[in-house]
Parts: sequence; structure tokens; C-alpha cells
Amino acid sequence: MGDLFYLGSRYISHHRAKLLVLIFAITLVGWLPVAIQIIVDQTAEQLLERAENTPLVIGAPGSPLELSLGSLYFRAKTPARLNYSEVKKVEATGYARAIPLYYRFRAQDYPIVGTSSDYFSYRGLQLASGRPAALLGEAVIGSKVAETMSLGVGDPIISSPESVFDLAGVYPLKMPVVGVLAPSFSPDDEAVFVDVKTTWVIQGLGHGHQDLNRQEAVGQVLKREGGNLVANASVRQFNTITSENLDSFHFHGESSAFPISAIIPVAPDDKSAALLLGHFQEEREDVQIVRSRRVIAQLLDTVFTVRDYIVVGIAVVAIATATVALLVFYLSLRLRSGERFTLSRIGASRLQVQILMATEVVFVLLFSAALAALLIALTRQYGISLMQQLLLA
Amino acid sequence: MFNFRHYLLLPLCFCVALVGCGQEQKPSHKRAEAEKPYIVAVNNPLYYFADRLVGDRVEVRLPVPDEIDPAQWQPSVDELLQLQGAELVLLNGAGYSPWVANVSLASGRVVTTAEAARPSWIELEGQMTHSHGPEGDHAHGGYAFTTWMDMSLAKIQAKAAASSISSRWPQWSDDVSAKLNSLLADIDDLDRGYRAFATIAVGRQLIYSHPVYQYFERAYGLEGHSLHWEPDIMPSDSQWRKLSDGLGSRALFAWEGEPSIEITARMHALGLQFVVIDPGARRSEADWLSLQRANLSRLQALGNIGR
Repeated sequence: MGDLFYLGSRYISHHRAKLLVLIFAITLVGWLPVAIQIIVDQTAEQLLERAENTPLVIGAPGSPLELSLGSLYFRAKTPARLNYSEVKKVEATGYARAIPLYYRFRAQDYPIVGTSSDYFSYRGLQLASGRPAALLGEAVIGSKVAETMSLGVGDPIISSPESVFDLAGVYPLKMPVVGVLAPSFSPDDEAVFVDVKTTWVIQGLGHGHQDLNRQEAVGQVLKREGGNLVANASVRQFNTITSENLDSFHFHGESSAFPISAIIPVAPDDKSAALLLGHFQEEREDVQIVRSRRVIAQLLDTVFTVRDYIVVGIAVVAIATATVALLVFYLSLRLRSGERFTLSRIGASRLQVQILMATEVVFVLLFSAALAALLIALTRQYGISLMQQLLLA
Repeated sequence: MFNFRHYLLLPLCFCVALVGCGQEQKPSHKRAEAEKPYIVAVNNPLYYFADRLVGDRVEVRLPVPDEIDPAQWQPSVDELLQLQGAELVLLNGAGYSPWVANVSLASGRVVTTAEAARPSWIELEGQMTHSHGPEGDHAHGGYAFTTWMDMSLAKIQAKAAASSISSRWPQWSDDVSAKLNSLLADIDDLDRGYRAFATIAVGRQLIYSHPVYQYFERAYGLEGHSLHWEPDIMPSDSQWRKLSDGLGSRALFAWEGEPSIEITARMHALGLQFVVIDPGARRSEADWLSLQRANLSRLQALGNIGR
């Protein structure tokens, strides 16, 4: 047996290039369909988990998918606008508390999410350091934001202008970081949280500026109309909110008409959630309420369909690969007819010759299977994060 | 339902799902704090209403230090965090707590008790507003905020507090409703008492120590002139002179609090009758209802003297 093993290993060593190609091809066709299955399943699990944790979302009429992705993952680039008055309307139904979300603005690559303090308790988010945002202009950042931007409590984070060409637009707002969230393995790790009123300041709906009644502001006053001062555009506005200038910040117009992107209604039980759903579906045409799990599940149906097409394609490739492998083995056996003759002439039995010939096939199949199993295990463990790096890169 | 645009979202879908590889935390539908639930009120009337409506079931807090007028109170960050942890934050409305505009509080927990009476809010005269450009929206001026001195508005505020408590704890709604009826009956008694005084005070010249009686004046037809006098700070001679120059024969001076001995003596010297009408905004040993009943007792005594 030792002789056979020696001869077999010598053969494999001598034909390693050919065998490596075979192993590579067979490993790929064995690993790919399973890997796709794993990644799609894990993706689906991630998506559905967040959607299940946020069963209802309210937003402006439009695509339910964009509303769900935006309010769950803060990824919408130009979210549709909803009036803040809708928050009060949801609460007035008595079926749910309403958590506003306004995710239009960004700080570099990270979304700035304007919300209320209820969001943190709703998501079960814990602070790793610092405290919750209490004042206008304060920010609490996710763990990945803190890590990648090297920010901590006391550091400032600056909102990014929506357009570099908007010279007359709103100045970036410098916000002190007062808290850093502990990792939650969710999109919350990659968000900057502020009070919804702070996002209105970023948008320019609220601002702080010098007191127009003071002597030094005379040059900025266009005219006085009764009890109203009309100021020109040169009024110096504050681009950071401090304890000294906090009281000067104010909003022009009614907050009920100010924009938000979505509302997460938090119903105390399933019955209240069903009543809220019925209320909005039957009585309101100007807003939409979506069951995010259903929307994400529909999206995943599409993902699964695409996955099935890919798997079918790979199955065809696998058949072709198997055929080519068979041909390679067949030709290899043909080429080794002289070797078989020599072996029988030097006294090898028929069984020993057959075992030696089968060594090549068994080695290739076993090695490919082991490699594919290893890759599948790695995919299960690290595949989704590798995909993340590849896609985000 | 899905169009081509949605297929383009598939890579995005992968990206967003791939953001986290660990187990996402489950949302908590209950408060994370282990602390017992509590209600925060921003002034003494609201503290009294809430305390009477919930009884011993929930703690009601008035975080304003005793020495500070709740209308002037500016909460610290620690106090704001206490407000964020409250199940309900009872605000007065009419610009009573202007700091609310610049702090982070969940709107679902905040109840502006005088909101239903917004059309009745009294806009202050002489307040400067401003706009940025002729077409710009105006920033608001101010409102008079001692709304509860009009007992019809106090009832609206009590009802708003009761409604928010019942919504938050529906299991107690019957009991809250019964307690509200009792509270409203007491406020009605106060209303009748003030109206009775108003009939006696017809034709009298009324001077108020501070501009905090606007709703009281309007509700009971007791219009007068408001000064900015503190009961424990002696006004200057010129202020006294100005006051005495405009005094009629049946003038009545209303103080927010008991004036000092020196001021009292000066008032007696002028022959000026005065009375304390305490709005009861600050926490004191006596509750808000007792303070209002004490007001009525003093006014009633004044009426008897007047006769």
C-alpha cells in the first residue's frame, strides 16, 4: 500500500499544474452556489431583522421601498418631505407615539439623523461615553463614525453642504459631540444623531444672529415696520451653537410646517398598530403608511429570483466543468496506458493498477471538496463583511 | 410593484444589510431607565393639577428651585436629561418656557397644556419681531403667559393634563376622569369667587405690581395699569411720585406677594389700599388651590371693608 501511495504522490507531484487547474475549477463550481445562498440568506436576515424591529413607517406618498430603506437605513439621497405636523397627528390618534426622522443632511459620508430622544430607547441604543443630546446643536455619533473620523466626546462634527456650488446656501453647522454610542451592529453605528430641530438649523429654517436691536446692528437693518425689524442679508449668523449664543437661536415660521423625512410610529400593541394602519390607509391619501417587513420581503423576493437565475447559470457551468473534468480524466487514463502496461509487467496486480489510476480522480475530488468546504465556512463567517468592503470600495 | 429603478436598488440593499454583521439590538418599546416613571411640570399650577390627578401612582416633579420664578427658569443639562426621562412633561404654553425651543425633548412626551386655548393667548404689545428681507417670515413676539389666572383657561390646562395622563396610562382613565371632575369643580369655585369680587370692584382704579395679570384682567373685567415693582424692593422716590400723581380716590394696588414693611407703610401713608393676589406660580408650602383660596379670602375681606 505504501508503494501505491508513493507512486500516486509522485504522479500528483509531477502533474501538479494540471491537477491544480482541475481542483480550482471543481472547487469553484462546488463553492459558488452555496456561497451565493449564504450571502443572500444573511443579507435577507439582516434586512428583515431591522424591518421586523420597525414594523410601520409613515412618509410622504411615493415609493414604499425608498421610504423603508430611507427610514431604516438612512440611505435615501433625496428623501420625500413630510410636514412635522404629521408627528402630532399620529400622536393625536392615540394609537402610537411618533418618532420623527429627518435624514436629508450628511457629515462627510455619514447621514445626520434628526430625531427625538425616544429613538434611542426605542432602538435600545446605549452610550459608550458621554451623554444624550440635550441642547440644540449637540450631536451623538455612532460607533463607526467615532472610529473612522477619530471623534470623541468634546470634538466638533461639521455638517456637509448639500452642494459646493451653492454659495448663497446655508453655512455648515459645527456641532459638538456630546455622546458616542456603543456598537449596535446596525446602521445606527454609521449615523450622526441630533435633535430634529438641529437639522432645521442646518437647513436654515432656524438660526442665531446678533441682536438687531443693538447699536452695532444698525447697518444690517433695512427698515422698521411697526414692531418688526426688516434685516438685510449681511446679518452675521452663528455657525456653531454655544451656551452663550443658544438663546439667540430661533425659528422663522411655524414648526408644524417644517420638514421631516419619515415617522416611526411606536404602537404599544398589535391592536393599536392595526388600528393606526387602518386609520392611515382609509382616511389619509396625502401620506403613506407602509409595513416595512412586507416591503423588504418583496424586495427580497426579487433578490431571491436573481439568486435563482445565478444558481441555474452556475449549475450549467458546473455541468460543463464536470464534463471537461471527465474528459481530462479519460484522456489522462489514455495517456497512462503505457504506465499501466509497465506496472503489470513488473508484477503489479490488476487491483493495484486500478487503485493507482483512481488516485488522481480521488485526490482531485477530495481536495476540491475539502477546499470548497473551507471556503464555505469562511464565507459563512467573513463573506458578508468581505462583500461589504468590496461593494463599499 | 417593482420597476427597473428598484432593481438598481439591489446593490444598495446588499450594502445596507452588510453594514452590520453582528446581532442588531432589539428595539425597546419601554423606557430603558430602571427608574420609576415620573411626570415633570414646569410651574406650580401644573404641578398641582398633575399631582391631584395621578395621586400616589406616579411621582410628579417640579424641578425648578424654590428661589427661582418658574417663568425665568432655565434648566441645566442635568435637569434637561431629567426632563427627557419623564413620561410626560407638562408645559404651560404661551411662551412660558421659551427654552423649550432650543432643547431636545420628544414631542410625544411634551404636553403644552394651554395649546387648546391658543386663540385666547394675549399677544404682548411693544414686542419687537424681525424678518430677514421684506418677504421673510417673521419671528414671533411674545405672549402673556400667566394663563391659569383666567380660571376658564386653568380648566383647559387641567383637562389637557388629564387627557395626556389618561392617554399614557389608559388603565387609570376612569379614576383620572373622576379626579378631574373634582378639580374642575374647585376651579369653578375659584372662578365664581373672582367674578363675585369683580362685581364689587367695578369702577375702582386697579394698579398691578407686575404685568402678570393680563388673563385675570380680561376674564373678570378687572383691567388696570401694570408696573414693574417687586414686593421686597423699595421703589424709588420718583416711582412713588409717579404713582401718587396718577392715583384716584378708589385705587387698589394688587401685589404678587406680600410687600415689605417699609413698602406697606408707604402705601398706608399714601392712603392706597392694597391686596396680595398671588398667581401661585412658585412652589410654596401651601398648594396652588390653597393659594388661590387665600387670594379670594383677601379679596372677600377687601369687599367687606369696601362695603
